[in-house]
Amino acid sequence: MTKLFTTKRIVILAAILVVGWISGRLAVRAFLNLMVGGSLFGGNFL
Amino acid sequence: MRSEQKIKKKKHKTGLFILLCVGAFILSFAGSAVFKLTYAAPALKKYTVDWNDETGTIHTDLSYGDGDANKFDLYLPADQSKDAYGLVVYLHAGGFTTGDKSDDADMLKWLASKGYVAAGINYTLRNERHPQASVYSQSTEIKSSIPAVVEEAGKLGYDLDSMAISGGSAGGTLAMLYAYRDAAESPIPVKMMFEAVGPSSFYPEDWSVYGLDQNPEAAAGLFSVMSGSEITADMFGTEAYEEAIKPISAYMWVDENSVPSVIAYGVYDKVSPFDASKHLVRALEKNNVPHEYIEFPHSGHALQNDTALYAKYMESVEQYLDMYLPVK
Repeated sequence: MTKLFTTKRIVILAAILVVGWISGRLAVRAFLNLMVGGSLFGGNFL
Repeated sequence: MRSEQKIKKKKHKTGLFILLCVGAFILSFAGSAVFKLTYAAPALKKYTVDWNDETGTIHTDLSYGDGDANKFDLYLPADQSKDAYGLVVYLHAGGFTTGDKSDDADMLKWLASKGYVAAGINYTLRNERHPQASVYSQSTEIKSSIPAVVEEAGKLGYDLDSMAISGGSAGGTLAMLYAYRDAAESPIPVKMMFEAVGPSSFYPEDWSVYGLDQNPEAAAGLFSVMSGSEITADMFGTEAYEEAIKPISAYMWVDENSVPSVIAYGVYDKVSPFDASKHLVRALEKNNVPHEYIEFPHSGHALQNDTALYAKYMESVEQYLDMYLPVK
């Protein structure tokens, strides 16, 4: 019987969630910066 | 046969896991984007008030002139027992071409909740219907509106004896022009000014974000529109230009009698160039005007990337209000 959630897959899934979260906030910040100016890093984390 | 089935099942689960990863990425990405757009820092929550009859009343679209846009809203504190009140005017943003007084309802409600009579004032925007409107004509409209605001507040039972003026972006420019240029003619004394990201000087070399440093003709065109007077490229660098642009250059009106000011600018501003703010900061320093200048090192026109500094800006505004326009 093959397991869907092996330890390796759980780690991969967690990494994907983190990358998705960071990419989402960076995408919003990049879009706002494009419109009104701003640096991609530094300042607010949230 | 059994091993073939096993391989098939394994492939199926791998496919399922890949789908799960794609879904998790999309959900996480979208959730993060929504959170980023809607998150309000705890330090800024106190500047938003729950408005109800116990907080105050709002009177909208009161008239101060013949134009369609010559309207203002008054936010009156619930306590009507005082002999006199301080007025705080907040002028809306919108690049002199869009925007409305209702855009700043949260700010006006917060000011009224502190005990001030707060006013949001519209001005004639430059658009197809009003191709002649300029920063100068808008500033004269604001000047003409203040006596009407004072009179109307008095009629409603709120006598005003002093005021502050403020605004954001275009509204910041108009607030500075009233505070530095027109304060001597104000029906009630102007005690302080606060503004964020409003342009206060107009030199082509500072407006490189629009390429005006490389194109004097374009600069002359834009500044002609803004000032409402004819400016030609050959005027730059001459006294004639200084005279022509002075009516809308707030920094030129700063002197030792100018009112205490809180100002904020974003270093990366693409809309109101950051370099154009330097003349104002220098003028305030040179004339020893009490001021708080807050520079946002990671932000543009929306001051969006430095929340801690935005909280500092609002705290400074509150301190200056308490000091120079205390609620009686």
